[in-house]
Amino acid sequence: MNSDRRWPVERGTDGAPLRVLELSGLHVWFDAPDGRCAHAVRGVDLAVEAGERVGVLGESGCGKTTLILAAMGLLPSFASVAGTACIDGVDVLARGEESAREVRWTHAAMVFQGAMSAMNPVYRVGKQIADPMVVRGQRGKAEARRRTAELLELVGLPASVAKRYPHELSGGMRQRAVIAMALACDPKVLFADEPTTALDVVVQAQIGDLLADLAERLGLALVMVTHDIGMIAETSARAVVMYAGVVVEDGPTFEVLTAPRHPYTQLLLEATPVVNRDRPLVSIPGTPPRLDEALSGCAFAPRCPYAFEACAARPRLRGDGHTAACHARERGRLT
Amino acid sequence: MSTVACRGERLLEVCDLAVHFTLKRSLGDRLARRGGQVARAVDGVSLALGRGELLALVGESGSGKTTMALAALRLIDPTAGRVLLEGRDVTALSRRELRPLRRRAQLIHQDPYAVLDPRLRTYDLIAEALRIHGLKQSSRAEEREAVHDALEKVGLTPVESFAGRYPHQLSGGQRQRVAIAGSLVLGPSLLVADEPVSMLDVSVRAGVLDLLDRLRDEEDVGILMITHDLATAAHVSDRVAVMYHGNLVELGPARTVIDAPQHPYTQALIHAVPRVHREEERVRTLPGDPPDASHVPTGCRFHPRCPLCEERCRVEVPELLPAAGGGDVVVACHLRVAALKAGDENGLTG
Repeated sequence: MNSDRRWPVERGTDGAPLRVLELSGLHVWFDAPDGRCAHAVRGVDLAVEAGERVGVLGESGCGKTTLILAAMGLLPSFASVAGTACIDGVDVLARGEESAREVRWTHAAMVFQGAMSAMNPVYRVGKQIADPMVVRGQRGKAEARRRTAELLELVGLPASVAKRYPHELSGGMRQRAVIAMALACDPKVLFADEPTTALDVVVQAQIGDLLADLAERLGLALVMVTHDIGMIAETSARAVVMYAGVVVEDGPTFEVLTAPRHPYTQLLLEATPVVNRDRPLVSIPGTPPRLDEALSGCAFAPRCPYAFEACAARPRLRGDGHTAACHARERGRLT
Repeated sequence: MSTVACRGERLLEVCDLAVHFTLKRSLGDRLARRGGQVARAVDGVSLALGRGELLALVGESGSGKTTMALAALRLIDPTAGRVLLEGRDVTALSRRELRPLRRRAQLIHQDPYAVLDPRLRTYDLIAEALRIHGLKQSSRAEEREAVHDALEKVGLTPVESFAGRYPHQLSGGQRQRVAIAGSLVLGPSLLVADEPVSMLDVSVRAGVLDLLDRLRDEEDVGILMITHDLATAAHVSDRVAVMYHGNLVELGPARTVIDAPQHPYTQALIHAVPRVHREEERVRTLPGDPPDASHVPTGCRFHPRCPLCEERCRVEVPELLPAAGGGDVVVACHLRVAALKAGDENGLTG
């Protein structure tokens, strides 16, 4: 594979980019052993087109990781789901493991947070990258080996890495190898769950650049989940903000981060230290709602400075191109 | 020397501190009949911290920042060098002699989930510190007052409602506040905070950072904050010290170091921070991987990754000297000092 070659974005018959990921009305519940139930994702609709780079932003517990695990069909057995999660037209949730197997690796692949735990310590890196191709029956062993060398080059690693064990690689190299593994079967959607959080700041920048660059060159849809606003700013064209299991804002990254429309996004940005800006930090009063409690209206209302009577009803995402789910915004109480 | 200058009265002074770890002998070492390799985690670091000052120690993982802070508290025995706390040489004391000093210098851990005993209520978590240090109050009422006072200082009010809670009933930010209260109740003059907010959610980080800021002002506590996050350092610290591979490479007032970094490593570090508002395109990311403490390069330790590396950098070890740019910054870089001598600013500012 020539690493400079660009793959065209897949298009449908009407010429528009194909919708490779489509979540609609997605709910996920986790049953706790004590009989309680955590409602982690509370009705999410999200469509991602081929070639799109989307950053899903949110604090821990907002359901962002659960969202992509559901789309990959990787939820644990004690989770229950409602709604649909289509990858390339196949509903991953429809027929359980069977339908998930159809899309995993070949249509959608995932890069996990801890690169060390994503690899098997007792196998050489090359074997682990080649395995999915062989198991999927896409390639023979020799062909898979050749392809492994290409993939390593693609992620900026020397071909000799194939012969090494995971512990012999640095954190950054390991994360690159995991990315190569994810790309093994030419997926159309690449999910990345906090791909840079465990890495040092300089290496973080390298990996972020690599993911954005690969998505662009290979025409992949990249869905990156992170709590790092800066990382989203540098890698994603579209930002989706989640709070307490719902999407509260969705729009072009630059607009969302410079002119946020939801009060939560506004406060989150003010709470984030920025290296080149001198302004006081604010903290958002209160804590996110407990997931085992039912939510009636807007989840952010108890912490929101703009909350009023209408917030007792659940707001819908509204707007054109840049949407926000906020009654105060809708009624023009917020500027 | 300028390396040890600090704001206000000197509280902590670290002179030429070194911590070397001997690694387990590998098979190769045994075959060659040599000792285990030595990891030079901290190698000749000098700095000073004043009362009421917040100094941020910044660096990548493996740069030696945590080791250096632990050695300063003598939780690790240093290989060489001295540590003076309130004028007393901590490195020369025996364990027993150290004990009364322990309460003067307290450590705040990164992980507030791991640090609190899940079976103790907030009140007992804090009172336990008093009891361990033999500061048993003459009466229950006095102990109560001390604990409540500490809870109030860290902003866990109303005190009565928090005192009876178990750790699992607290949020991450509240747990970190309890951990800080457990240190404060002993009346320390020095707090070493190891990544105090990196495990917390963004929305509560500011609160904990504000708390540290307030303690420094109101209690006159000196704070050594270890962080890998330059943005956090920029917001709260008075001075920033940048570590690379066991050495200090740059030290100066926070705003000066962040706005006009001198050392090529500091420049790369600041450049790598992802941000929303970027005035200029990101030029390059630093090549190579973070250093390995058991393989120390010759000359300047940064030279294998440095974009400006010259012949001299491979051979001579740079000293920490006042930077060409001025502004009370010291920097360990030949080019920065050379630029000063030759009056040539092109080398690094471009």
